[in-house]
Order: sequence, then structure tokens, then C-alpha cells
Amino acid sequence: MYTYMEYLQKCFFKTTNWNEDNIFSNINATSQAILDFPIPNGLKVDSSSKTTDYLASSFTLSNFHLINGSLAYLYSLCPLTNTMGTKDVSLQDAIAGFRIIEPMITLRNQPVGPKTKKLRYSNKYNNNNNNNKNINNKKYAMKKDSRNSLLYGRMYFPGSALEAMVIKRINENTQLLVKCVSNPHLERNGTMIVYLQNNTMKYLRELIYSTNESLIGLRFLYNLGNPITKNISPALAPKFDNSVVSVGTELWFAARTMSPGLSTALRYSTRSTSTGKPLTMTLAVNPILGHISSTYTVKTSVASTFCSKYDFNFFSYASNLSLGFELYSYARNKNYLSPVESSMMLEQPTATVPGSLHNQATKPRRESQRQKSEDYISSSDSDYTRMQVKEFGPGGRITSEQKSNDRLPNKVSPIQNKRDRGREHFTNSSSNNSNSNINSNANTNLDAAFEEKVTTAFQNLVNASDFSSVVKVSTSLRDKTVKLLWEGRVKDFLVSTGARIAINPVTNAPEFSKFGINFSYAF
Amino acid sequence: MSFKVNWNSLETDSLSTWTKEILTNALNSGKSPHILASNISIKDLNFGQSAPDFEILEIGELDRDRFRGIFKISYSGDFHLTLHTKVQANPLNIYYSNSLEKEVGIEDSEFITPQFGLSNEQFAIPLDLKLSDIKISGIGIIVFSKSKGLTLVFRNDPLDSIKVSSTFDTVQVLANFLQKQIESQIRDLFRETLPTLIHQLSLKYLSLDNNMNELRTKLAANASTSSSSTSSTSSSTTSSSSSSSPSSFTSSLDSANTTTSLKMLENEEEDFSLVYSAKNLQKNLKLFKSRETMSLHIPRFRNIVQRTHLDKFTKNYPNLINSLALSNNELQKFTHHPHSHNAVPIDIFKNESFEKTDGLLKDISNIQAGNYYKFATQKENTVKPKRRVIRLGKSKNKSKSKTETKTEHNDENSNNDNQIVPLSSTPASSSSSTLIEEMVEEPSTPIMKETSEFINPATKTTPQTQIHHPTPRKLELRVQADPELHSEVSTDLHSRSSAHHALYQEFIRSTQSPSLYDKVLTTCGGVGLGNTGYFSFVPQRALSASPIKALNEELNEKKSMNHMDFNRVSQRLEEKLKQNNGDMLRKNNSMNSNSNSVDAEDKPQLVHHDTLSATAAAYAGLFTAPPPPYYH
Repeated sequence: MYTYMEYLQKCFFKTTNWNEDNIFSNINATSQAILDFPIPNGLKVDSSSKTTDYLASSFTLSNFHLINGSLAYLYSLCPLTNTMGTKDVSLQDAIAGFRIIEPMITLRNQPVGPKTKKLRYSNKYNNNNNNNKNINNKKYAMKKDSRNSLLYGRMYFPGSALEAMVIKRINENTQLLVKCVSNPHLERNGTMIVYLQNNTMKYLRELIYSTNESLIGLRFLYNLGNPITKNISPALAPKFDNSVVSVGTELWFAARTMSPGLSTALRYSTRSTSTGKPLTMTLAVNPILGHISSTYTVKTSVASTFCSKYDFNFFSYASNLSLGFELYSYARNKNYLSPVESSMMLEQPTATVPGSLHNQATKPRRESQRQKSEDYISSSDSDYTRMQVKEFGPGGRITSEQKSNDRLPNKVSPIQNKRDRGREHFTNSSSNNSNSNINSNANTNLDAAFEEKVTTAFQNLVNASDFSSVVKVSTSLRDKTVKLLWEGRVKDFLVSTGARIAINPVTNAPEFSKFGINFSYAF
Repeated sequence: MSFKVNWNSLETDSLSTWTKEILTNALNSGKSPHILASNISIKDLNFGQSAPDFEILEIGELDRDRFRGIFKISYSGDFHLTLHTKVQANPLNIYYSNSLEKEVGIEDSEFITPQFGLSNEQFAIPLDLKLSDIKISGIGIIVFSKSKGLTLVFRNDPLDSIKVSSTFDTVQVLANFLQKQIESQIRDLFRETLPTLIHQLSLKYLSLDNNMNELRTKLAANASTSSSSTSSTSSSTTSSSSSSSPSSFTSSLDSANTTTSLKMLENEEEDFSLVYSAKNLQKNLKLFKSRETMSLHIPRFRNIVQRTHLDKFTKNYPNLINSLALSNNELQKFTHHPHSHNAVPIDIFKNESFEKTDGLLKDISNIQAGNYYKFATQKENTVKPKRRVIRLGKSKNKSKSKTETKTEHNDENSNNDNQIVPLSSTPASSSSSTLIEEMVEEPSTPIMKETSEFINPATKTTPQTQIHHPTPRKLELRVQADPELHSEVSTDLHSRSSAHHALYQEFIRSTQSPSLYDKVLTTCGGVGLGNTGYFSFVPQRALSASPIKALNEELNEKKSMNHMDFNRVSQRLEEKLKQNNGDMLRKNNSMNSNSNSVDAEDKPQLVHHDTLSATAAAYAGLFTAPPPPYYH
């Protein structure tokens, strides 16, 4: 479970169109979220509020061995309108889970490079023969917003420890991230770490410097393959191009202790063509230590994910197998359509009319306010929506008519729900949409449409589902540990509780090595 | 001087496992450095065959509580030790662990730590480390002091050489590195760790004594709040407390005594194994407070009787008057006297005819003699008790008394050789002398029964300065005390304390008898708490609290029951003897005039014991099972 501040930070990245999946350290974020999830220790209560769209504060009290707490403030230069409190937030947003890696889509006539990113999602407009006005608007908005920044500070008590973070967007694709800790108990009273990141659609370059032992780091991530552009004719576009292959490497050197470090990783993320279920495979190698780690993660159904990880060391022949899964459970609300029903409903119109993907009927959100917020957050990585927000003012409500008119040429049925729009990622839908169009143009539209339909439908289904809780279980054979975590919504609180059970190496008796519960409330 | 160490005795399984356990715990205690990927375990431990040489070069200081010496230790044996652990070979993993420590927030948060990919994967390498061929030769200094603990310092670097072999021996660089590191570590161990450890350990064992000292100083600091001393008061105790007691006449009794007892403690050279119980102190404090504040609640002490309640306690004790009453029914009325103690009951002589008195005196002397012999026979050296005989009707009365004084001196010097002469046919004179000499010593205390001895008067001074210290009288101690020194001290003190002197003068005026003053004081001092040694109270309040007042109503109110109106006695004697002997009459008169002033000094003090079982069958049971002692 993310803390509220982490959640806001993610929202900030989404709002400012910063793709976190491109960061090398997130290359195996999915498997980490399912295998190496953190378990709370002791009792912790977190109460947060977003006073305005720009400012949020959080108060934390924890009791583990001793009572301590912290007070945090966050200020964002751009309004974070797409956030929600714990009452309304969907669990998929609040909890680290399976991450669906989006394929690169570039706009036609745009060069692949640093400048293309801002137009990354805008191909649908061209594709749909949309007017240029929107693009212009968007460009304007991007210009305006390209210099965003975020300030964050946290005070711990007792003691006089402070941590602070500054995120400063230098230009559209480059940002500076500075984190520092001030603690009189540390030598030299604290440390500071600076990230200089250049994030484009094709690759991400990162330079890191930490004052702690003068650590210097370089990280690269490169997305293989050409981004889908409209330069090529639709007929030439790959048929089932919904996979992403990324290769990355990291180089570390702690100058003071002469400690080097190196690793490379490869990630392959795709969707099953038959079922539309996403899966991610990673392979990481540390050539210095001869260590290989491979993971395979698949979202087996809307509400479940399974992950396996195999570690092997060439030098010591040490190996380890880790398994884990997460299971979501649906909120029990009789007013809403069950997911099965909705998926059935969704099958029907999309099969006949490929263009009207968004007519699928999904169940409404619990509350209108939530719908709105959901809208914003889910569409946050879309420039388009952000622009819309700009147009209609922060927090302004966009009518479904307007939005659907903007987005799709098709006649949007009035029953279309905003929730539907919101939950599904625009990029996916639009790209799939475009693909489907291409496919239809290539006269293979029946199969392709089915493919499209399946993948998109599945994702929509995942996004649309209203879950109430999730159970995560993971085990590691070598360490002989089992980790359990339950996270869910209790009243208006998000509760996270878990335990780690390890087998004592001496007595061979299982014992709790960690146990805790977190309460989090935000409004 | 050197020692032979029985080294082979170390080669036992139990010892080696015990050592292994201790070493393992010590090595794994605390936070292990991040370079270690696992705990340290001891694979092999061998003490070897040859023992270290231990030689004492010099002993600088040797005392009961301190020691300083220089010794030499040399070892070149085949002791070896093998450790096993796992070492983290990935430096970035160590960096990661270090960095996580600097995080402020809750654990697992990686705020300041960069997210590493696989580059911080841990990579543990097993490591065996063997330490062997240890050569030690060093000169160390041991300083031991009871208060500061044991300090061990090596004058030089004791480690000559050590051989370190590890799994990394093939890698020359690592081997050298390890060798250097471990050598420096062991040097550190000898230089710093070991002395600190030993010092702390020694402090731990000595802390008990330190606490004792602290307590002692604390007690001395606020002596007024607590009063305690032990039952085992030695001669110095008595003398010091008695010497200081007059001065405390005007001050608080308890505090004065406490200070003296504490002073005594400080002066004590040998270990004074005092065990102060907090409970006791508390009780004593309560008692003191109750005395100060007229509180009605007086805390009870086990086996201790308050002076105010003494009557109840001594009521049933056998004493002289009880014994007399057994044979003489006329005396029955006196037995119920509340203040029955072992003193010769003067009341029974009052207004009695001489014949009767004579008979009574005979009875008394019989009882006393029988009593004495009863106990004397129990001891081996039965000495015939010496009784002073005053022959009436002889000239040179003055000179005689003087010579007697001298003999008394001699007697005192020869301690217990006092002889009691059985009462002769001169009852009047002897009785008078005996009676006057009666010490109003607490008679029924068991300790006195057990030590049936006669005491000599301690003071030999002129009537003006001759004042007994109002201290409890300890029989044995009295005997041992040097009388001259004693009197000196007392005179000094008297001359110092003018208030005391004034009081004394006033007393003399009122009672016509200077000795009475002493008796009053000794009466009070000899009874109850004050006599026990726990609370050797100076009887300041005795004047009002003592039984004297009630007793001598017809007399001057400050006269004790031991007071004898000699004028009366002499009158009677005159009446009787007028017809018989004119010489006797003259003598008696002079005797009377003398006795008023010389009464207390130059006559043997008879301490009467209530062990009258010989004559009184009724009391037989009491003696076979004597009452519990007052103090112990």
C-alpha cells in the first residue's frame, strides 16, 4: 500500500506525463510488488488530507518498540485534481500490483526522440481525423505545464530528523529529483541524493549522485523496437503489436569505498492474444557476481495475479525459487453489475462495432464524486485529459458528451459512463482503437477486431472492477519464509495488515518474525 | 616468584564447550558489521599442551584492600582457534545495508537509498579463519584497590606474533590484509578491550563494598536522623560514649549517641561487619521521633523493653526483696513495690529497731553470699568473696578508709580478685557501707546473671568532681577500664560543661548527698534501652521520669530509694550503742559524717543478683528458664 504522499507523487507523475515504467529500477516492479511486498511492522496510523489541489499534509503515528510519528507536507506546482481519499480510491491505484506496460505510440510526422513524448498519446486524434485544434490546445498546455515541480518535507518526532524531496521538471523530458535527509545522529548530519533523469518514450537516461560514500550511478533503459507511428501506412503496422521489450543496465560506483556494481535486465511485456491477459517476463543478470534472476508474472484473471521467480548463481550454484500471488475480492454491492455481466455486455457491442469500444457498459462507480476523481486519475497520463482539465478548469466536470465527442468520431451513447472512460487508460484504448482501425483497413478486421476486443476488454474489465480487498501471499524456498498481506477497505480506512512467518533455522519451528497493521485515512 | 599453571586441566570437554559458548556469544553480541553475512561460529578450539609462564616481578604494595604488582607473562604454545563465518563479497550490498541504516523513516522505506536492481544482490562467501602460533610476552601491571577495582595495564605490546590462515590464503593480497587486520585487532584487545573488561568486571564484584562505604558516609552525614549501633560494643565504645555523654546533657541525646557510635565506626580499624537493615533504621527513626514529639505511639522492638514499661517487665523478676520476703512475711508489703529491683531495699530498714535491722542485714548478706557461691562454684576458680569490714570503735577511722581506698585501687588493678568477706558481727557499719555502695545497676538483666562478678567503682576522685558518668554500666568493661584515665576524662568533661556543673551543684544542694546525683543518673542509665548498647541514652529526662519521685515522697523529692538517711541510722545506732560502747558511738558518728561524702567511691560495689533459687524454691523455675535477654 502506498502512503498518501507516495500516491500523490504518482499522481503528480501521471499528471505531468512522466512515465515511471521507463525507470530502470522499476523494470521488475511487478514481480517485486507480488513477491517482495513490504509488511507493516507494529501499529501505524496515517491520517492525511489534501487541503487544496496544490497542498496536502499527512500525520503519521506509529508504535513499534516506541511511539514515534511524523508530519509531512507536500506542495505541487500543478494542481493534483485527480486524487482521491481512501474512501473512494480504487485499490488498483492505492496498492502496488501488476503494472501493465503500455506500448509506445507516436504521432505520425513526429520524429522519434525527446520531443515526441508529449504527442505520444495524441495519435488517436489524427487517427480519428480529429481537428488540429485539440492538438494545438494540447501543445499550449504542455508548454505551460512543462516546468512543474513538487516539494515535499517530512518531520519526524521525537528527534530532529527531517527528510525532504524536490522534484523539478527542467524541461518536458528532463527532471531533477533531489532527496535529502537531515539527522543529527548521522555522520555529517545527513545525506543527499540527486537524480538527473531524461525520460523519453524510447529511452530513459539517469545520472545519480549520492553524498553517502560518494556514490555515482548511471542507469539506462531502452525500449526496443520502433514506436508505432503513423508515418508508416496502417497496413504495414505490426498486427499484434501490443508487446514491449525493454533492455536496461545500471552502473554504480561508490567512490569512497571503491565499491562497484553492475547489472543488466531485460523485460518483455505483452498480452495474450487469445485471452487478452497481460504478462511480464524479466531476466536480470549481474555479471560480476554471476547472478541470474528470471521472473514470470501473469495476470491469470481479472482478480488474480501469479508470479514466479527463479534465482541462480553461476559461481556458487545457489538457487532460489520464489512464488507469489495476489487475489482481489470484489466489493459486495448489489446495485452494481457483476463483472461477468459487464463483460458480457461489453462483448456484445464491441464485436459488432469495432469503433465503439467505449460504448461498453460498465458499472457505475459508487459515487459520483468518486467517478469524477477516478476519471482524472486514470486519465492522468493522457495529455488529452489533462488538457481537458485545463479547459474546463480544475475540478470542473466534463460532461460525457463533450468528452466523447472530442475523443471519438462515433456517436457516443448517452449511457456511456464516465467511469468507463476513466478507468481505462486512454492510451490503450486509443492505440487499440487505432490498431483495430488499421486492421479493419487491412481486411483482417474480424480476427484483429477480436484480438483488440479481447485485450482491451480485459484491461477495461480490470480497471473497471471495484475491489474491496486484496490478499497477497509469497514464499521463498531458500529463506523458508511465507509472507502474508491483506489490504483492503474497512469503512473509510485503508487497512493493511500482514505477517512474515519464517522457520527458525535452529529449532525448525515456524515463528512470526514480523507482524503489523497499518491504518490509513485520507480525504 | 613464578607460578606453575596446570594447563592440562583445561583440556576438558565441558570447559571447551563452555568457552566456545562464551566466545560465540561474545562474537555475535551486538550489531554485526554488514560485511558479515552470517553469524560467527567457532569451529575448533584447542588450548594446546604448553602453559603460559606467569612470573611476578615485583609487588609494590600489598595491603588488605590494595595490591600493586608487576608481572610478566609469556606464552608460545600451540593454542589455536578456528572461526567460521560468511563474508559479504558484494560491496554494493554492504553499501545498501549501510545506507538503509541512515534512513529516518520506518524500516523498509528507501527514501535516501537508491533502488538498486540486481547489483546489490548479496553474495556470501564462506570463510574459515584460523588463529595459531600465538606468541605473547608482555609485562603487565596489576593495580587493585578495593574502591577502584582492578586495573590491568600492559607496559608493552604483549603480542609478539600470530599466524592467521584463512580460506583466502591463495589470494596474497587478501591474506596480507587479514593478517594485518587481525594483528591490529588483537593488539587493540590487549591494549584497550581487555583492561576495560577486567576493570568493569572487578567493579561489579566490588560494588557491594562500595555500597557499604556509601552507606557509612551517608549515615555519618545525617546522623541525627538515625541512631543505631551494634550490641557488640567494645571498650572503646563505652569510653567514647561515656565521655561524650555529659556534653550531650543539653543537646539531643539520640544524636549525640549516634555520632559517637558512628565515630566509633570510623575509628574502627578492622572491618566492622555491620549490616544496616533499612527496616531497623526506620524503626529507630520512628522511636526517635516519638521521643521528640511526645507521640503516644512508641514502636515496639523485639526483646527490648522501654524504660517506661520496665516495671511491668521486672515485676516478676526475682530480686532481693522478694527473696527476703519469702523468709520474712513482714516484708511482703514491699514486694509489691513497683520499683522492685535488686538494690538493697532501704525502706525495710526505716523506722525499724536495730535488732530487726541486724537480722535483715544478715539475711541479705546470706542471700548475697549464697548467690555468689552458687555461681562461683560453677566457675572453677572459686575465690572467697571479699567483704569489707568496718570495725567500729577503733581509732584511725580516717586513715583506715584511706588505706581501704588504696587497697581498692590495687584491687581494681588486679581486676576480679575482690574478696567478699562474709558479714561480720558488726552489722551496722558494714550494712551502712554496703547499702550505700549499692549500685542501682539494672539487676535483672540476664547478662548480669550470667556474669556474676563484682565491680569496682570506676571513679576515684574527690567528692566535688567525683561524678559517675551516667552511662550504662557494663560489668566487664567497667572492670577493665582504667580508672585513672576514666576519672581524668570525666573531670575534664565536667569542668568543660558548666551547665552540667551548675546542675550538679544544685542537685547537691537539694539532696545533701553528692553521690545521690550519680545514683540517679546511673539508675536511669543502667536500665532499659540505655543500657543495652543500642541506645545508650544519657538520662537527661531521668530526673523526672525516674521512679525516684514516687518513691521518696516523704524525703526530699529527688532522693532515690537507695538514699539512706544516715542521720536516722546513726541516731538509732547511738541509742543502742550508747549503753554498750562509748567508743563505738564516737566512731559511728565520725563514720556517718564520712559516709555522706565518701559513700560511692571507696567501697566495693556489690551487684546483687536475683539468683536466689537456693533460698527461694518459688523462683526455681524462673532460673532454670531465665527470661529472654534484653538485648543481643
